[in-house]
Amino acid sequence: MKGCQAPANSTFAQTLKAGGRDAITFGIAFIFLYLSIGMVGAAQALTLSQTMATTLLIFSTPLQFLLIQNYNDGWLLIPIILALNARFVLLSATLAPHLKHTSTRKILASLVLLTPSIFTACITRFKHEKSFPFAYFIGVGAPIFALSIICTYVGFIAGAGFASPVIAAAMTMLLPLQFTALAGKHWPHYMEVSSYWLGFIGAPLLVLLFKDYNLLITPFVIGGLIVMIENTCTRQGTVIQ
Amino acid sequence: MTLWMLIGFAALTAFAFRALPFAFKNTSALTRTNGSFYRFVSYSAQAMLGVIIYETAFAKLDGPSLMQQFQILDALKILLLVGTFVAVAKTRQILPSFFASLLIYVCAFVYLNN
Repeated sequence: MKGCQAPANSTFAQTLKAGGRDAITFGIAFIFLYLSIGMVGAAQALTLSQTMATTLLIFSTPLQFLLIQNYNDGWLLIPIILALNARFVLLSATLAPHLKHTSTRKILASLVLLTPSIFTACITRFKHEKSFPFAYFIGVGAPIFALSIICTYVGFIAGAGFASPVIAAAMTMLLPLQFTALAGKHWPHYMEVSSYWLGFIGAPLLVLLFKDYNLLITPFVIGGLIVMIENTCTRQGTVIQ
Repeated sequence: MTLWMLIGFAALTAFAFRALPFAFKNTSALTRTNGSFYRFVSYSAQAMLGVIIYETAFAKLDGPSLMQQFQILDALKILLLVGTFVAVAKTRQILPSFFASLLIYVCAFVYLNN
Protein backbone atom coordinates (compact mmCIF):
# COMPACT_ATOMS: atom_id res chain seq x y z
CA MET A 1 0.00 0.00 0.00
CA LYS A 2 2.77 2.34 0.97
CA GLY A 3 4.57 1.52 -2.26
CA CYS A 4 1.50 2.63 -4.21
CA GLN A 5 1.18 5.86 -2.32
CA ALA A 6 4.83 6.89 -2.42
CA PRO A 7 5.05 8.11 -6.01
CA ALA A 8 1.79 10.06 -5.70
CA ASN A 9 2.96 11.64 -2.45
CA SER A 10 6.30 12.57 -3.90
CA THR A 11 4.63 14.17 -6.91
CA PHE A 12 2.33 16.13 -4.62
CA ALA A 13 5.36 17.21 -2.59
CA GLN A 14 7.34 18.04 -5.73
CA THR A 15 4.46 20.17 -7.03
CA LEU A 16 4.22 21.92 -3.67
CA LYS A 17 7.97 22.54 -3.81
CA ALA A 18 7.75 23.80 -7.40
CA GLY A 19 5.09 26.26 -6.24
CA GLY A 20 7.35 27.35 -3.39
CA ARG A 21 10.19 27.94 -5.85
CA ASP A 22 7.98 30.05 -8.11
CA ALA A 23 6.77 31.98 -5.06
CA ILE A 24 10.28 33.47 -4.81
CA THR A 25 9.73 35.32 -8.09
CA PHE A 26 6.45 36.78 -6.89
CA GLY A 27 7.43 37.27 -3.28
CA ILE A 28 9.82 40.09 -4.18
CA ALA A 29 7.00 42.38 -5.28
CA PHE A 30 4.95 41.49 -2.21
CA ILE A 31 7.81 42.45 0.14
CA PHE A 32 7.69 46.05 -1.08
CA LEU A 33 3.91 46.19 -1.36
CA TYR A 34 3.19 44.89 2.14
CA LEU A 35 5.98 46.84 3.83
CA SER A 36 4.24 49.87 2.33
CA ILE A 37 0.83 48.77 3.57
CA GLY A 38 2.28 48.44 7.09
CA MET A 39 3.96 51.85 6.82
CA VAL A 40 0.85 53.58 5.46
CA GLY A 41 -1.25 51.95 8.18
CA ALA A 42 1.05 53.39 10.85
CA ALA A 43 1.14 56.79 9.14
CA GLN A 44 -2.69 56.91 8.93
CA ALA A 45 -2.98 56.20 12.69
CA LEU A 46 -4.53 52.74 12.30
CA THR A 47 -3.91 50.25 15.09
CA LEU A 48 -1.63 47.28 14.46
CA SER A 49 -4.60 44.89 14.64
CA GLN A 50 -6.57 46.92 12.05
CA THR A 51 -3.61 47.02 9.66
CA MET A 52 -2.91 43.30 10.12
CA ALA A 53 -6.61 42.47 9.67
CA THR A 54 -6.60 44.04 6.20
CA THR A 55 -3.84 41.64 5.13
CA LEU A 56 -5.17 38.59 6.97
CA LEU A 57 -8.80 38.93 5.88
CA ILE A 58 -8.70 40.82 2.57
CA PHE A 59 -5.23 40.25 0.99
CA SER A 60 -5.79 42.59 -1.95
CA THR A 61 -3.28 45.43 -2.25
CA PRO A 62 -5.42 48.04 -4.09
CA LEU A 63 -8.33 47.47 -1.71
CA GLN A 64 -6.07 47.61 1.35
CA PHE A 65 -4.50 50.88 0.24
CA LEU A 66 -7.99 52.27 -0.45
CA LEU A 67 -9.28 51.32 3.00
CA ILE A 68 -6.22 52.48 4.90
CA GLN A 69 -5.92 55.82 3.13
CA ASN A 70 -9.61 56.72 2.80
CA TYR A 71 -11.45 55.06 5.69
CA ASN A 72 -12.82 58.45 6.77
CA ASP A 73 -15.03 58.41 3.68
CA GLY A 74 -17.05 55.62 5.36
CA TRP A 75 -19.99 54.20 3.41
CA LEU A 76 -18.98 56.15 0.27
CA LEU A 77 -16.30 53.48 -0.19
CA ILE A 78 -18.83 50.65 -0.54
CA PRO A 79 -19.33 50.86 -4.36
CA ILE A 80 -15.56 51.06 -4.88
CA ILE A 81 -15.02 48.07 -2.57
CA LEU A 82 -17.58 46.08 -4.58
CA ALA A 83 -16.02 47.14 -7.89
CA LEU A 84 -12.51 46.20 -6.74
CA ASN A 85 -13.66 42.84 -5.39
CA ALA A 86 -15.74 41.99 -8.48
CA ARG A 87 -12.51 41.36 -10.42
CA PHE A 88 -11.99 38.23 -8.30
CA VAL A 89 -14.93 36.62 -10.12
CA LEU A 90 -12.89 36.56 -13.33
CA LEU A 91 -9.85 35.04 -11.64
CA SER A 92 -11.89 32.38 -9.82
CA ALA A 93 -13.93 31.49 -12.91
CA THR A 94 -10.76 30.98 -14.96
CA LEU A 95 -9.14 28.89 -12.23
CA ALA A 96 -12.26 26.86 -11.32
CA PRO A 97 -12.00 24.15 -14.04
CA HIS A 98 -8.41 23.41 -12.98
CA LEU A 99 -9.51 22.87 -9.37
CA LYS A 100 -12.72 20.95 -10.14
CA HIS A 101 -11.41 17.79 -8.43
CA THR A 102 -10.43 19.67 -5.26
CA SER A 103 -12.90 19.52 -2.38
CA THR A 104 -15.03 22.59 -1.73
CA ARG A 105 -13.79 22.67 1.89
CA LYS A 106 -10.15 22.97 0.77
CA ILE A 107 -11.01 25.61 -1.82
CA LEU A 108 -12.99 27.73 0.64
CA ALA A 109 -10.21 27.48 3.23
CA SER A 110 -7.59 28.71 0.77
CA LEU A 111 -9.58 31.35 -1.13
CA VAL A 112 -7.83 34.28 0.53
CA LEU A 113 -4.69 33.29 -1.43
CA LEU A 114 -6.32 34.15 -4.75
CA THR A 115 -4.73 37.35 -6.03
CA PRO A 116 -3.82 38.39 -9.60
CA SER A 117 -0.16 37.39 -9.06
CA ILE A 118 -0.91 33.94 -7.68
CA PHE A 119 -3.59 33.45 -10.34
CA THR A 120 -1.08 34.30 -13.09
CA ALA A 121 1.49 31.88 -11.67
CA CYS A 122 -1.12 29.09 -11.59
CA ILE A 123 -2.55 29.67 -15.06
CA THR A 124 0.95 29.86 -16.56
CA ARG A 125 1.79 26.46 -15.04
CA PHE A 126 -1.56 24.77 -15.67
CA LYS A 127 -1.21 25.40 -19.41
CA HIS A 128 1.58 22.83 -19.62
CA GLU A 129 1.40 20.93 -16.31
CA LYS A 130 -1.99 19.80 -15.06
CA SER A 131 -1.11 17.45 -12.19
CA PHE A 132 -1.79 18.45 -8.57
CA PRO A 133 -3.10 21.96 -9.32
CA PHE A 134 -4.20 22.54 -5.72
CA ALA A 135 -0.72 21.65 -4.41
CA TYR A 136 0.78 24.21 -6.76
CA PHE A 137 -1.81 26.83 -5.79
CA ILE A 138 -0.95 26.33 -2.10
CA GLY A 139 2.78 26.07 -2.87
CA VAL A 140 2.80 29.51 -4.51
CA GLY A 141 0.14 31.17 -2.39
CA ALA A 142 0.96 30.15 1.18
CA PRO A 143 4.58 31.44 1.30
CA ILE A 144 3.52 34.71 -0.34
CA PHE A 145 0.64 35.13 2.11
CA ALA A 146 2.94 34.40 5.08
CA LEU A 147 5.56 36.81 3.74
CA SER A 148 2.91 39.50 3.24
CA ILE A 149 1.72 39.12 6.85
CA ILE A 150 5.29 39.44 8.14
CA CYS A 151 6.00 42.45 5.90
CA THR A 152 2.79 44.19 7.01
CA TYR A 153 3.92 43.77 10.62
CA VAL A 154 7.51 44.90 9.94
CA GLY A 155 6.27 47.86 7.88
CA PHE A 156 3.92 48.94 10.66
CA ILE A 157 6.62 48.67 13.34
CA ALA A 158 9.25 50.42 11.19
CA GLY A 159 6.78 53.18 10.32
CA ALA A 160 8.11 55.70 7.84
CA GLY A 161 11.70 54.48 8.31
CA PHE A 162 11.68 52.52 5.05
CA ALA A 163 10.03 55.18 2.91
CA SER A 164 12.16 56.61 0.12
CA PRO A 165 11.51 57.92 -3.43
CA VAL A 166 13.65 55.11 -4.89
CA ILE A 167 11.56 52.43 -3.17
CA ALA A 168 8.40 54.19 -4.35
CA ALA A 169 9.77 54.21 -7.92
CA ALA A 170 10.70 50.52 -7.71
CA MET A 171 7.19 49.73 -6.48
CA THR A 172 5.67 51.50 -9.48
CA MET A 173 7.33 49.04 -11.84
CA LEU A 174 7.45 45.84 -9.76
CA LEU A 175 3.98 44.53 -10.55
CA PRO A 176 3.92 45.68 -14.20
CA LEU A 177 7.26 43.96 -14.86
CA GLN A 178 6.16 40.84 -13.03
CA PHE A 179 2.84 40.50 -14.88
CA THR A 180 4.48 41.30 -18.22
CA ALA A 181 7.17 38.68 -17.66
CA LEU A 182 4.41 36.16 -16.97
CA ALA A 183 2.52 37.26 -20.08
CA GLY A 184 5.72 36.44 -21.98
CA LYS A 185 5.39 32.88 -20.69
CA HIS A 186 2.01 32.62 -22.47
CA TRP A 187 3.73 33.05 -25.82
CA PRO A 188 2.83 31.66 -28.41
CA HIS A 189 -0.79 31.56 -27.20
CA TYR A 190 -1.61 34.57 -29.33
CA MET A 191 -5.10 35.22 -28.05
CA GLU A 192 -4.07 35.37 -24.36
CA VAL A 193 -1.10 37.58 -25.20
CA SER A 194 -3.26 39.84 -27.40
CA SER A 195 -5.84 40.17 -24.60
CA TYR A 196 -3.10 41.22 -22.18
CA TRP A 197 -1.61 43.89 -24.47
CA LEU A 198 -5.02 45.13 -25.61
CA GLY A 199 -5.86 45.62 -21.92
CA PHE A 200 -2.68 47.66 -21.53
CA ILE A 201 -3.25 49.74 -24.67
CA GLY A 202 -7.01 50.03 -24.21
CA ALA A 203 -6.87 51.19 -20.57
CA PRO A 204 -5.83 54.83 -21.22
CA LEU A 205 -8.33 55.16 -24.07
CA LEU A 206 -11.37 53.39 -22.64
CA VAL A 207 -10.97 55.14 -19.27
CA LEU A 208 -12.30 58.23 -21.06
CA LEU A 209 -15.51 56.28 -21.67
CA PHE A 210 -15.85 54.11 -18.58
CA LYS A 211 -14.24 56.49 -16.01
CA ASP A 212 -14.00 54.84 -12.57
CA TYR A 213 -15.42 51.58 -13.90
CA ASN A 214 -12.60 51.10 -16.41
CA LEU A 215 -11.17 48.08 -14.57
CA LEU A 216 -14.62 46.50 -14.42
CA ILE A 217 -15.79 47.03 -18.02
CA THR A 218 -12.70 47.24 -20.28
CA PRO A 219 -11.55 43.61 -19.71
CA PHE A 220 -14.98 42.27 -20.74
CA VAL A 221 -15.05 44.44 -23.87
CA ILE A 222 -11.63 43.11 -24.88
CA GLY A 223 -12.45 39.52 -23.89
CA GLY A 224 -15.65 39.62 -25.96
CA LEU A 225 -13.88 41.15 -28.94
CA ILE A 226 -11.12 38.53 -28.92
CA VAL A 227 -13.62 35.63 -28.69
CA MET A 228 -15.57 37.11 -31.62
CA ILE A 229 -12.39 37.39 -33.71
CA GLU A 230 -11.33 33.87 -32.76
CA ASN A 231 -14.75 32.40 -33.54
CA THR A 232 -14.83 34.20 -36.91
CA CYS A 233 -11.36 32.90 -37.78
CA THR A 234 -12.36 29.37 -36.74
CA ARG A 235 -15.46 29.52 -38.94
CA GLN A 236 -13.30 30.66 -41.86
CA GLY A 237 -10.89 27.81 -41.19
CA THR A 238 -7.92 29.82 -39.89
CA VAL A 239 -6.19 28.07 -37.01
CA ILE A 240 -5.23 30.32 -34.11
CA GLN A 241 -3.18 28.98 -31.25
CA MET B 1 -19.16 53.66 9.47
CA THR B 2 -16.17 52.46 11.51
CA LEU B 3 -12.99 51.10 9.98
CA TRP B 4 -13.69 47.67 11.47
CA MET B 5 -17.06 47.59 9.71
CA LEU B 6 -15.40 48.56 6.42
CA ILE B 7 -12.75 45.86 6.89
CA GLY B 8 -15.48 43.31 7.65
CA PHE B 9 -17.53 44.32 4.61
CA ALA B 10 -14.47 44.26 2.31
CA ALA B 11 -13.39 40.85 3.68
CA LEU B 12 -16.86 39.32 3.26
CA THR B 13 -17.38 40.60 -0.29
CA ALA B 14 -13.83 39.61 -1.31
CA PHE B 15 -14.53 36.10 -0.03
CA ALA B 16 -17.93 35.95 -1.74
CA PHE B 17 -16.59 37.09 -5.12
CA ARG B 18 -13.66 34.69 -4.86
CA ALA B 19 -15.95 31.79 -3.91
CA LEU B 20 -18.90 32.36 -6.25
CA PRO B 21 -17.46 30.86 -9.49
CA PHE B 22 -16.38 27.69 -7.63
CA ALA B 23 -20.09 26.96 -7.03
CA PHE B 24 -20.31 26.48 -10.81
CA LYS B 25 -17.01 24.63 -11.27
CA ASN B 26 -18.72 21.49 -12.61
CA THR B 27 -21.08 23.26 -15.02
CA SER B 28 -20.37 22.85 -18.72
CA ALA B 29 -19.83 26.61 -19.14
CA LEU B 30 -16.66 26.35 -17.04
CA THR B 31 -15.56 22.77 -17.72
CA ARG B 32 -15.57 23.18 -21.53
CA THR B 33 -12.36 25.19 -21.68
CA ASN B 34 -12.62 25.43 -25.48
CA GLY B 35 -16.12 26.85 -25.27
CA SER B 36 -16.85 30.51 -26.00
CA PHE B 37 -17.86 31.35 -22.43
CA TYR B 38 -14.69 30.01 -20.80
CA ARG B 39 -12.49 31.64 -23.43
CA PHE B 40 -14.34 34.92 -22.87
CA VAL B 41 -13.69 34.71 -19.11
CA SER B 42 -10.07 33.66 -19.61
CA TYR B 43 -9.27 36.43 -22.13
CA SER B 44 -11.08 38.98 -19.98
CA ALA B 45 -8.88 37.96 -17.03
CA GLN B 46 -5.74 38.51 -19.15
CA ALA B 47 -7.10 41.87 -20.34
CA MET B 48 -7.75 42.82 -16.72
CA LEU B 49 -4.08 42.18 -15.89
CA GLY B 50 -3.15 44.46 -18.80
CA VAL B 51 -5.43 47.20 -17.42
CA ILE B 52 -3.97 46.75 -13.92
CA ILE B 53 -0.37 47.12 -15.13
CA TYR B 54 -1.22 50.24 -17.12
CA GLU B 55 -2.96 51.79 -14.09
CA THR B 56 -0.05 50.87 -11.80
CA ALA B 57 2.73 52.04 -14.12
CA PHE B 58 1.04 55.23 -15.32
CA ALA B 59 -1.02 56.20 -12.27
CA LYS B 60 -4.39 55.72 -14.05
CA LEU B 61 -3.74 58.64 -16.43
CA ASP B 62 -6.06 58.81 -19.42
CA GLY B 63 -4.53 58.89 -22.91
CA PRO B 64 -4.57 62.67 -23.54
CA SER B 65 -3.20 63.43 -20.04
CA LEU B 66 -0.42 60.88 -20.52
CA MET B 67 0.55 62.45 -23.85
CA GLN B 68 0.62 65.93 -22.27
CA GLN B 69 2.77 64.84 -19.32
CA PHE B 70 4.89 62.31 -21.21
CA GLN B 71 8.44 62.07 -19.84
CA ILE B 72 11.60 60.09 -20.58
CA LEU B 73 10.77 57.75 -17.69
CA ASP B 74 7.39 56.96 -19.27
CA ALA B 75 9.07 56.01 -22.54
CA LEU B 76 11.51 53.86 -20.57
CA LYS B 77 8.63 52.12 -18.78
CA ILE B 78 7.04 51.15 -22.12
CA LEU B 79 10.41 50.03 -23.53
CA LEU B 80 11.18 47.92 -20.47
CA LEU B 81 7.73 46.28 -20.46
CA VAL B 82 7.98 45.35 -24.14
CA GLY B 83 11.62 44.28 -23.69
CA THR B 84 10.77 42.09 -20.70
CA PHE B 85 7.92 40.47 -22.62
CA VAL B 86 10.13 39.70 -25.64
CA ALA B 87 13.02 38.45 -23.48
CA VAL B 88 10.78 36.06 -21.51
CA ALA B 89 9.01 34.86 -24.67
CA LYS B 90 12.40 34.03 -26.21
CA THR B 91 14.29 32.67 -23.18
CA ARG B 92 11.35 31.26 -21.11
CA GLN B 93 13.24 32.59 -18.05
CA ILE B 94 11.42 35.15 -15.89
CA LEU B 95 13.88 36.25 -13.23
CA PRO B 96 16.88 37.51 -15.32
CA SER B 97 14.83 39.86 -17.50
CA PHE B 98 12.64 40.91 -14.54
CA PHE B 99 15.64 41.93 -12.43
CA ALA B 100 17.53 43.49 -15.36
CA SER B 101 14.53 45.66 -16.25
CA LEU B 102 13.92 46.65 -12.64
CA LEU B 103 17.57 47.57 -12.16
CA ILE B 104 17.61 49.66 -15.36
CA TYR B 105 14.47 51.48 -14.25
CA VAL B 106 15.74 52.23 -10.73
CA CYS B 107 19.15 53.42 -12.09
CA ALA B 108 17.40 55.66 -14.64
CA PHE B 109 15.11 57.03 -11.92
CA VAL B 110 18.08 57.81 -9.63
CA TYR B 111 20.05 59.38 -12.52
CA LEU B 112 17.16 61.53 -13.75
CA ASN B 113 16.27 62.68 -10.22
CA ASN B 114 19.87 63.21 -9.07
